[in-house]
Amino acid sequence: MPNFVKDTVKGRRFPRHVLVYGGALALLLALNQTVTASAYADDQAQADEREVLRRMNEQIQELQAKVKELEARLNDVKGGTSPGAVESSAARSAPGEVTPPPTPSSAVQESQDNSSVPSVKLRMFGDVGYEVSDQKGETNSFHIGTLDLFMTGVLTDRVSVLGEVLFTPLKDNSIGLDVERLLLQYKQNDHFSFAIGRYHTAIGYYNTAFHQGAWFQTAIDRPFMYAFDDQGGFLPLQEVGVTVSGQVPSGNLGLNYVAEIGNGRAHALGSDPAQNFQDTNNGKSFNFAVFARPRETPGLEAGFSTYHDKLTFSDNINHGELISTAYVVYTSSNYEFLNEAMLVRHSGSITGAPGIFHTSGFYTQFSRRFGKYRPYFRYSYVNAGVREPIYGDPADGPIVGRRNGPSLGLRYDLNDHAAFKLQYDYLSQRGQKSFNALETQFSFAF
Amino acid sequence: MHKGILLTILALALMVSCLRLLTVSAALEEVDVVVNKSNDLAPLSREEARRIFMGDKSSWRGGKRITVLMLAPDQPERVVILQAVFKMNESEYTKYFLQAAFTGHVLAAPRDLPSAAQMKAHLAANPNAIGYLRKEDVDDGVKVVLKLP
Repeated sequence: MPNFVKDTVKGRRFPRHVLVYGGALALLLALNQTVTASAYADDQAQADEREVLRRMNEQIQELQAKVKELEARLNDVKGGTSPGAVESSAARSAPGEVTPPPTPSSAVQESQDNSSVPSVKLRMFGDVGYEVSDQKGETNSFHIGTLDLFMTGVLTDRVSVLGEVLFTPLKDNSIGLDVERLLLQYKQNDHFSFAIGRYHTAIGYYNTAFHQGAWFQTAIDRPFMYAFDDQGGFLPLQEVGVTVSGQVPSGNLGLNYVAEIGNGRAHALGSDPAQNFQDTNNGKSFNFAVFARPRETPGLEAGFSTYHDKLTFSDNINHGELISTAYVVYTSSNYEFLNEAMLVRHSGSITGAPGIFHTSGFYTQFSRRFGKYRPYFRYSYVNAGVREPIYGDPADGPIVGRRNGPSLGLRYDLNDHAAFKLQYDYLSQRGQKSFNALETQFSFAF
Repeated sequence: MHKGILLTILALALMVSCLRLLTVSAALEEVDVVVNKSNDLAPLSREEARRIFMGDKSSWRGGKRITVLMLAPDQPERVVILQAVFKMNESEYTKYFLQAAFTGHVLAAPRDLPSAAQMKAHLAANPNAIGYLRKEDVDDGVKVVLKLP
């Protein structure tokens, strides 16, 4: 039972909680009044501003009329015309005005002029940072990341070109040049798009969602299973071939497909994993992916992909490769929840004897934005057997082995084009000592 | 008695919040999504408009590529479109189109125009364009397909 306090207001008694709630209500109403008054003040200010703009606009119109008159007189004297002068003054006019717009014909002319010469858009992405680690053989170092030059050009209404060139620092402190992507694209409509060249394989979600620019991704680096080849990656993330993609008429389910045929990946030591000019065999890699983006739940995406290739090595032993992935991700302006799993199946042992070997992997990543801050957590896992003919044979490239561990970090967006990240990693590896690492990164895009 | 008072106060607080929301909504500009007058496009839902403006739907029914026009940043009409159609703020919009171009999802970000007059001129000249105007700027030269907010 609540305690009642004797109180007299105009001869009546009120319980304490009534007074407290009443006070709170009064405070709420007062706040509302303040907000409303503020809104009215804003409205009044906007009205005043519009009035000023209207007056200025009238003056501009008067001046434009005078300029036209003077131009007409000048033209009479010179016997020529100068239509651009009036047009340019209209183009500079203030937003929200009622100035007569440029004529449609002039706009069309502008459009035709623009379309006659294909324009190139150039973007740059890059990152720099510092890393400390207790891993044996590693030193604490400042480092530069990849400098990424990204170009797009629209050739016709349906044809475009996409190019991406990387300047990547290598372990020997030299800088490597790499044509990361070069694609000639043809888009018939939303259901059919065709491209030929070098592209990022549509294996899973992460590889085509984030590509190279570190600024786009929340964390400093990519999950183990999606590491690029120069960072110990083992999946065929880059291909040279053709890719077809589009939307599948599926209503609110929002189904999409991707089908790719390429050269596949080379695994032999000393070779570039992406077979840019010559395939090691006549067999081609096939990749097929389907994913859904339900319209009822923007940000949700789920899908799978299946990739097949035949790998041939210098000893002429062939290995069949089948890579399956599945994922469910949810991204919004505040939340990011990524979950992917993969299973790689290789057939044929190192000696060529029959055998089936499986390598599994997954990662889960969660982040939440608080204004300019975004803390994140990720756990990555990959496990390739020691007898694995491709991932366990040192003659066929770096040994994948088992790697697993968490990453914990914080991203701070300095502005719309630059971010600072701080990340702690703990990595456990089969046959090697576990280690800790702390890394910082400034990434940018412009 | 106690619960009754509490419920009454909660209801009043809810009303106050609603009033505040209404006040804020009223402060937003009334904006119409518009296309070229010759476009036979039926009235759009917000979801359809969102798919067009975000590049998920890039061609009209006849196969012609859609040209999306935006007014330059900081204009009140743009704020309405970002909130009601994109459901993003300016930063998220910038990042979205940077990433969409980077992944090849869109060929180019929407074209920014400096003024409503320019918007009207481009809409009138380009039968494949879609854009938006304040309600009071709409005239017979364009066709309204969605009213916002």
